[in-house]
Amino acid sequence: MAIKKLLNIVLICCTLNAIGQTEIQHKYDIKKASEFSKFLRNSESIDKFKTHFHSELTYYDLYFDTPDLLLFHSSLSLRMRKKEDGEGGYAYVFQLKSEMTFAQKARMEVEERELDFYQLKIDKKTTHLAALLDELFKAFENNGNKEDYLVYEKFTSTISSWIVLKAQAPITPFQKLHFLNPEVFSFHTISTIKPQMIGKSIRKRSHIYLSAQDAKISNANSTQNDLEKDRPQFFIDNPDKIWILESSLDSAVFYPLFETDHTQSEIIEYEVENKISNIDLGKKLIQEYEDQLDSKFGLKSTIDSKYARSKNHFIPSE
Amino acid sequence: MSLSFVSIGQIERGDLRIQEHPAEVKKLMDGDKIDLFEVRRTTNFLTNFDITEYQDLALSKRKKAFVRHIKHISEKLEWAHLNDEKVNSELIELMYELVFFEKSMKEDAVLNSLDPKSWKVKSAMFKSVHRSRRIFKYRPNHIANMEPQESPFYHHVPAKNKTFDKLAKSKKIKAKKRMVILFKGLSYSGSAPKIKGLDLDYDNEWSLKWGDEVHTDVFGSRIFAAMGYDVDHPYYYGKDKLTLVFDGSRSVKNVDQLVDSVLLTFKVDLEPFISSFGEVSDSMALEHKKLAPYVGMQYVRFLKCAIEGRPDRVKRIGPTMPNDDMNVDRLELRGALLLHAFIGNWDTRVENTCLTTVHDGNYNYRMSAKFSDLGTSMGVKMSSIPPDFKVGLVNQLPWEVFKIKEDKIKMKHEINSILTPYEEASYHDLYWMAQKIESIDSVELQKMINEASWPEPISVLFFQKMASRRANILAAFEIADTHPITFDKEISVAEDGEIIVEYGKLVVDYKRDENPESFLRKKGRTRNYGN
Repeated sequence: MAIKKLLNIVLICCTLNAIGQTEIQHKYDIKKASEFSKFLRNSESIDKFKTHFHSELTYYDLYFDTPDLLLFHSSLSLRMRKKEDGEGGYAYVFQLKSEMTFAQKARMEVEERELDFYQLKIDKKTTHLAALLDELFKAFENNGNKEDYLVYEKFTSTISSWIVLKAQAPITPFQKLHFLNPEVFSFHTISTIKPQMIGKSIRKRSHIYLSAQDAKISNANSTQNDLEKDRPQFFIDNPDKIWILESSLDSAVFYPLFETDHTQSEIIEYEVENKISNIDLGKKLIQEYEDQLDSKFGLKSTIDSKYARSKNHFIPSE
Repeated sequence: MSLSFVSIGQIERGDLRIQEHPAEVKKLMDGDKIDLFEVRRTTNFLTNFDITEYQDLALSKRKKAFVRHIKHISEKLEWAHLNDEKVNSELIELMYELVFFEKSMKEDAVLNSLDPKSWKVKSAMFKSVHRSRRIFKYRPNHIANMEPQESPFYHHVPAKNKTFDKLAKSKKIKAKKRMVILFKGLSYSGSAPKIKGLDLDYDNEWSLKWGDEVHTDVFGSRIFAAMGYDVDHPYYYGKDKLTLVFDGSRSVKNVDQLVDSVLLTFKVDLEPFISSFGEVSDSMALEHKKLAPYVGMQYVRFLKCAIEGRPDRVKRIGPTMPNDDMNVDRLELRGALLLHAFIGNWDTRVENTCLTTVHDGNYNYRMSAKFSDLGTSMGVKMSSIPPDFKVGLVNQLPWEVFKIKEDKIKMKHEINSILTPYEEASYHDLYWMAQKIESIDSVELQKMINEASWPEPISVLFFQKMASRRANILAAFEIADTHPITFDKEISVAEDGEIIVEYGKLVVDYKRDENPESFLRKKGRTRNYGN
């Protein structure tokens, strides 16, 4: 299994560069998490790096894997997510991500959006995938005993049936899995993918920016053209503030959907993502920001995804 | 089942079906049911970002909106299959759409692999031009009432200038009176010099062009839109009305580099088109708040230019495949030959048709087939030796489209690609278009001419010529003119005592300092189809 895992990691890392569906991300554990949370919430600055706290959002996740954990062993994670969109509504996505490596802090990420037009049947009634996820996460929220995963059985089995039907359909994460390794991820194997854990995250989001003057000194003042369509309102209203990074502080808790001696997995992690088109400059700025934060709050770089961490928690031998 | 294409906002997609379903559509059916395996083969090809080649040819990068569009179709077909539904007209329409897109993507890969300067391509163009001089002859015969069904190729619309604006609005294209465009990158296609830019709202990409097509493209697109076709959206900008800003992050960082790059790529000297340049100043930033981050950066303004919308809501997939069996019998495509002739459009290649996905909002998508690059029109001069090509030469645009004889009419129009629908166009097909051309009245023709913003004397002459060409078309098809447009083939125009147009001919190289492309000088460009 170890050799197989290594081969799969090599395959995915090679693919990362080739397919271009990547994002530059850095993840950290924070020693002084509570102080750091206040720092972000108060939109404080550190050296030239200014922060702008703009939202606290709730995310619900349902993670998937094959019965023999092929995704985990291939350094991949697959999840359906319900997330607050910051405008009073919710968005639903189905995402496949690769794990980060220390050498390459980029993750492959592909996703299927608009889960609301995928139809399925539950109790002989037609519903939409997004609506079903909504029901599932409501049941999760209302479940007094979160370890009692049988509460979710009706929903998770319906989603599993949907996966059986859709393994060969044009669903982006399935297409990508099959492309990455058609032997390991045959259509049959994909059809065996089932929900493995459920959880919730509270995400505090902040823009990290430079003043126009500091941006000019750092050569970051004119490197945003590729991203105009995604430019947040804050930067449209304040064109003298130069957006360089997006960050999120996550407090998450996950529960297994299978028998295990270990109960919940709690995770606090800080994630920083490059937002400028000059990748090398973006990496340099992330490093500078990291150094500043480390000296004040104690940062430890980490690479494991929430799924990998939780899986290691629930099944330590793996 | 409710399908999004049936009614989307103000524009409906229309029908694609033809009398006999093509083999590719039949393949998606298993008897009277959906063949899910075949449907998935097609939808996977259309949506899988990791399929990057077709027959060893590179496929264009799939746009996310297009993939979403296909997935909507896919899910409707998958759901119908899951429920064991029999194929019906709505499901068949969806299958047609999949087949259209698959063929278009593949043909796009083939066309992209062709070298426009290759002997084969040039030779085909040369032959078409010569052949087109002799084959468009028609004998009048019985006319039946005809009107094509609404389809992605054609919509029945009023023959008015504002049809173009409505189309633009549906695509969220906003051309302001004064525009600030950020330089994005060089463009290497075509023969007219152009670059890619972004407007300051970041919603839309624009193609910025200079040269002899800046008026003709604007006029041609409005005429085609008024006749019911989807088109690109070019807009003319006069002196200092458009500012191009170099934000320093791109390969071209200032006006000198722009001039050098355009000269290198298109062999066209941009310098005569430049009005002013320099650094974005504080006062400019006060005028345009969004220019603030660009203070100190380089900008350039022009004597004249045109921009063409590349809206985020419209994704280009590939050609509309006019030569495919699914399309050759379409009246709206056959009739388009006469419309090309009306504006004197020369470049009718399949590359200048474009199949698109239009996002109508709320995740409703619509297929639309449009005519692109209608600027090689309104007076074309082409020479093989020495190689040269020029458009918009008012004296080159004949007063008539047809030579009318007792028993036949002959179209006097050269085109560089005789697409199958044009080859097979009958008297009936052209008659239908002639009727549509009749519906253009004097007011609307004038409005469209005005949009093109030719200098006054040229504009007057073009109006006279288009009115004459319209009258000639109606005479050729013996169509009664319900609102004749008066014209004078002997018209003369003087300005400040100087004769500019004499006896229907431009005799002065009018204000050359303001019109560097010249409306008289025949020397043009040499790139690509300039031989």
